Amino acid sequence: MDRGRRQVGAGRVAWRWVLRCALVLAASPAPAAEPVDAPVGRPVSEVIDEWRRQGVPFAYSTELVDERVVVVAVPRATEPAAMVAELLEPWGLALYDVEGLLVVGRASAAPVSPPPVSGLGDAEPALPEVTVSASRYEILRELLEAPSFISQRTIQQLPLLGEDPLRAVQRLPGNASSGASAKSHLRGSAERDTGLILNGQRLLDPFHVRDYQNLFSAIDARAIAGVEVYTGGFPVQYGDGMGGLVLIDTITPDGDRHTEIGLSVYNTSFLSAGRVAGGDLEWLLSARRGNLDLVLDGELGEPSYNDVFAEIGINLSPETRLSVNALVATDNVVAVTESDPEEREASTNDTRNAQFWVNWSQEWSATLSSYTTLSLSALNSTRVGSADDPEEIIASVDDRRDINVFGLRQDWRLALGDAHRLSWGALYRHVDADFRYRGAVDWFGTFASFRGQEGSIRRAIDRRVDGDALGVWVADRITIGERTIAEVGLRWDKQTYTDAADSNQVSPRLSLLRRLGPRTDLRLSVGRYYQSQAVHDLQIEDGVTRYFPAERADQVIVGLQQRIDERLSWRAEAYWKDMSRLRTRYENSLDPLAVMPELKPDRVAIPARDARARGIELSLGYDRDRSVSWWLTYTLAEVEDRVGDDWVPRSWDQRHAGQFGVLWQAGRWDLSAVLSAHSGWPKTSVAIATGSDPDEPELVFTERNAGNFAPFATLDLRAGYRMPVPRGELSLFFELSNATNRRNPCCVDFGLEDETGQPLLDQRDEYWFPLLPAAGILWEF
Amino acid sequence: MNETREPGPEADDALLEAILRRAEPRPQPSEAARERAFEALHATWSRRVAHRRRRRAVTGVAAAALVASAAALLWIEPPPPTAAPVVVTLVRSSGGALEVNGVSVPASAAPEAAGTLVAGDRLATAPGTRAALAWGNGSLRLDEATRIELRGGNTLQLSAGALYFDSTPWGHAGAEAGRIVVETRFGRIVHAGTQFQAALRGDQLRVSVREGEVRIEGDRLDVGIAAGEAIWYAADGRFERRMVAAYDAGWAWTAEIAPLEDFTGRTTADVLDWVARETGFAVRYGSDRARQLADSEARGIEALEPLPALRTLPVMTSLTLTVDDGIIRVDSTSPGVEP
Repeated sequence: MDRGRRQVGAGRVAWRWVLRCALVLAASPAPAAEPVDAPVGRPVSEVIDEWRRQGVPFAYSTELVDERVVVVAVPRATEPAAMVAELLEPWGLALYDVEGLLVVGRASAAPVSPPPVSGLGDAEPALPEVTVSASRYEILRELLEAPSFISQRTIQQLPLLGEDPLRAVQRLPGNASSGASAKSHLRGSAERDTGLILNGQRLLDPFHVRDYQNLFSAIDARAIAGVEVYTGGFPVQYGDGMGGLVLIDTITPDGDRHTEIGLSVYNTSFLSAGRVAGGDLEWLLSARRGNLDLVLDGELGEPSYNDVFAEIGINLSPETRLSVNALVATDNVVAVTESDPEEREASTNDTRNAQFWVNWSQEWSATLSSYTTLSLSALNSTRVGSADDPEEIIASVDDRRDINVFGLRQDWRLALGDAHRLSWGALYRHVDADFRYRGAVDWFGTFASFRGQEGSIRRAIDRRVDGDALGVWVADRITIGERTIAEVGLRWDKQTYTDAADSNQVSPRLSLLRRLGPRTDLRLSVGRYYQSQAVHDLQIEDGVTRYFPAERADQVIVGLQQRIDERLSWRAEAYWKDMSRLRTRYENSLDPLAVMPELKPDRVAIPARDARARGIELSLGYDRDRSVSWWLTYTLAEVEDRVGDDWVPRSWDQRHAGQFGVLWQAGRWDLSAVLSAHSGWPKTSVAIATGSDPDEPELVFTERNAGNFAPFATLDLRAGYRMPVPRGELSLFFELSNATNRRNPCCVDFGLEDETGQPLLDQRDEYWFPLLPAAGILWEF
Repeated sequence: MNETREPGPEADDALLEAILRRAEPRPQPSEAARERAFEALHATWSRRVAHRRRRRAVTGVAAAALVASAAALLWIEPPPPTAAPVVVTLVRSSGGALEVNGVSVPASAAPEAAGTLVAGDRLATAPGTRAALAWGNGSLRLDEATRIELRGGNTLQLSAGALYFDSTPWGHAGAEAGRIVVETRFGRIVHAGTQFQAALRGDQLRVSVREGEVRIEGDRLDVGIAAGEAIWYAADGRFERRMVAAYDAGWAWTAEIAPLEDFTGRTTADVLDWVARETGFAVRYGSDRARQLADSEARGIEALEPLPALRTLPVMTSLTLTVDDGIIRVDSTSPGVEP
């Protein structure tokens, strides 16, 4: 009986299968896909998900395509893959065909300059946005992997004197530098016009060997994740500056613990980074000791310096993060510019620069966030120098400065629908400073021969400064139509420690981005930029005891950028910058390398109230993943001061400048070469005054900056090699700065001779740095 | 040798190759090592058998009493219920055709057509065809050229071919483990919390255990198999026991017919766990950062089998995957302290 039931049952089952199979096989194919809307501001993930629901096999991770990845321009394509690829491209993402799926991944190669993604500030580094401001260069080629920063890795591949990350800025078009200083002139600006912001805090003069060209910065290249640079046109929250801006963020610890110990010609360094408590507590400690005092000939001095940076990050919740930062740099630098006991000239600088700040980052909601920084900075500097050359100069200087700055700053950001993104903020700074300057000089012989010059100077100045600085700003980023984004901003600043009747500054700014095509962007930036005199910039060494009104620059920048393909891109920018309300600048016409410059006879005041800079920058870049990258830049530029009715080139004016660099990685080898060249900088010479007494000839300067030095060129090379060791990895590098030992003139040396009964002026060029080899070793574990 | 993959399609084929290479038979140990391993296992097995014999002898008398007691209980108590029938559904098939109760069904249509299988249903996979069934909370997979018949309760009969059973497949970790009894002509295969496979090829039975423990209870064979072991038993009485890795090549087909999971709302870490469960690999995170990145949601890869999914993850995330000696090492490529 059972057997019979089973057979019957099996027969029913068989018919059931036949029927089901017929129904399934007769099922119609999937209907045609419905169009998907992709308005500006809609999260790209929503668009993808809508296609997925229609059966299009997209795959992605919310790590790369999070809700902040939104449609920045209405796509032209309607076919799913083409549409999504178009939406992803501005974000450095691309579609890949993997196992029959359309998978969203990072684009495999980065353009020479960044895709239009960046943060409005390092306050929110994870926030990719369309860069509306023109002129934001992100130097290195791995930008798709780290879109907001210059890669630490690439910085370390570049030949940079002293392994100084700020010197990476000198690889940019629009930069003018001699190679001696870690500071740069960006688009004709003075060095003091460039701000440096580390982890949200504007640093107070963070340089070593400050009396000698600010030779190195106090930033450890190993401790930073990258560098990004505005050569102009920065948003209102970065106010109180009219030149450039360098933004630096330190690395985020990526593992439980990472340690580096390095030894090079320039530094001995130690770095430790890590995370504990499940990643909620992070630390970063970087300590360096300068080695120049060990390697330099004692006759040239003893430049001893150290710096320590420490950061502790605390993730209190997914929405709340605190980070405590401290940077302490100390200098004990003895610079000897003349070691002959009969002509001895030396200067000693003891500086302690301590900066401490706390950042509080808070996401109040999905649309509202804030970033608060509380800071304390103290700069204590003592400079003592003397020159004892009875034939030319007897001088002494005792310059002591104690500067304290307390700051509180808060930035807010609010998204209002899809079209508006509002940001506002305010800052308060209290500054107090004590200056005590004593300087005396007597000139003899040739130094006393300049016409109209008094034979001696005596300065004894004490100055105490106490006051506040305030700033308030608001900006709105507006999406206009499908292809245009604008940002309008307004900033107000005021200082109470200046001696100006009008200490209020209002800075309106406008930036526009117009997408001309899927790979082509046009940017326009127009704005007014004020820069107040920093408290530590009192020109007391030149006898100036007052603070001047804020200087002003009105800038217009137009930029065009095209990514030809995934590897090759070009960029062109033109800028006009009119500067006004300038305060008197002091320079040494003949020798900018002097260690007591204010006591030298070639010290001149440049009473320019106005200046203008203009230029065109072209760059072409190629990046093939991490194997080969190269870039080629050319800049045509001009910068002039208006002195009286005359326009006089600034001392760093360079009409033509170009650079070619290549980075090559092959296995364990990293090789790089950078060739830089520019027109010779303006030159001022000395002449015997017409009609002067041959027995006591008088000297005069030729027309200031009327001539030019010979063109400047330098080839810098670097080779690095990595090898695994039983514990960690060992890296070796060898570097040549100015590898061809080219003599690039910097200065004019002069002397009067009288061998024939007639005064004879002996005048010759001196030179920037010669060939400088360096080597180092780094152990990472 | 380590294989590290960066995100990007050009690297994916190599990754798959690397994984598949690892699915190849491991290098054989030396003869001496094999001998030592076998002796150790044999000694353990012998002790178990001897212990069982002693126990039988000692409890022989008591058994008779127990039987009498049981008979009495049965007399006064109703018989216990038989094992409740498990719900069996065909969830995925690949290849050419399945034969369900003698009717050939294209593999692509079979899951939708089959519905729920009941006792008496017969299922056969043609050469080149595989099938996956939900067996209660467990997962049952059939290799090609396999024939089974549902015998009611949680029992099936394996007539030919190979099957794989996972009592607690990924996504069912919190549920009651699935139970299965596999009847073969060599005996019954029962298990305790396990991933195992049984293959009946010709006159030979092979049973491999990836996790848990399995016992074969037959007329001439009564043997326990622990995780990491496999036994071969031939009709002529030949018996062999070997060690087998959780990611041995013999398991590869089971991942290829793994049910495609719905990862909606699931994270990359979940996908990796699933891949690990299906392939026998273990997952190790190289850093907290990598673990943190793996918490992102992975969308759209529900159409992929484990190995293609593993190949896809580096493309869609900032993770690199290094597969070596059965371990998937997960590292972060995002900026930070770079190696």
